Amino acid sequence: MQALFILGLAVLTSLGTFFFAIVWLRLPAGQLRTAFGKMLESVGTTLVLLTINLAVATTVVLVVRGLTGTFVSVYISDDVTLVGLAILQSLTPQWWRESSRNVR
Amino acid sequence: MRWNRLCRLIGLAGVVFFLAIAFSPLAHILDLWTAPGPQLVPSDAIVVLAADVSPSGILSRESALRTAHGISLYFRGLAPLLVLSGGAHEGGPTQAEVRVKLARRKGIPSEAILTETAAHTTQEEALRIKGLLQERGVRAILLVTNSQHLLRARPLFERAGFEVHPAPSDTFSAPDAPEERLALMREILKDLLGWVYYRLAGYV
Repeated sequence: MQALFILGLAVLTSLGTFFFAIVWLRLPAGQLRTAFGKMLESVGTTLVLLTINLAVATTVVLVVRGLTGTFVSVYISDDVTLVGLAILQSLTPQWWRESSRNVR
Repeated sequence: MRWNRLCRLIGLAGVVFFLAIAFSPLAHILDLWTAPGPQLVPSDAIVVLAADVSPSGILSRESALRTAHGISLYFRGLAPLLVLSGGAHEGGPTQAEVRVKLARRKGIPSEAILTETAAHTTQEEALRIKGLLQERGVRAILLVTNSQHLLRARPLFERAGFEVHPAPSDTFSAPDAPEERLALMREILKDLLGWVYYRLAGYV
């Protein structure tokens, strides 16, 4: 029930945003496909960075354990904050690339 | 350009995965498929694996759930011994100490309780509990932990020489809220990765 409500809500507000963009902001509907691709690109970059963060964290923990003999839990990086940080990490280089393209 | 296309593909897979987990019972189906079901049969001991405790001595929700399940199995007469595991954070009491207090308050006699406080990982728990129980002639154990953790805990204890009967501390009820489904999927992925690591390391 809750899942359906949340999904319905997202569909409704997405449609609202679409019409707002077309009518109010006068954005070309044909560019929606490109925007969708860019959104997937951002999500993909975020997932890549999240994986890198987790892999580096696990490697560091195992190296510290091996070198010092001190126990450090692998779960030290088991934190949802890492997803938020990966989003920030992925957006910055993407916009950096976009703005660099415009400068060239 | 190739990098952009790769990111798009990964992004598409991520979005499809996210929607499938949040808005379908896929996580629950995976949970049922991967986790061993309960085998609550009379055994020689009940082994409650560690979760977490705060430095001030408060059990995490997971640790409290496991302890409560171990205590209830004891009172059902399924085993005469209760093994409570769990170390400490800096300066705080050990998880096992806090669990013992809880078990004693519920009326379990201290001679029926054993503790293990030095292990850091599930593999270490299996080895240390083996040392603790072997001298008492314990062979069959009811292993209490969450269902996903059982995936790697069970073979570790079997390898240590025990006849293991899984006693998952969580229910297999299907979560309905998207957030709960995502949390379940996170647990499944976390323990699957743990299992892969243990396989690679040759522990299971």
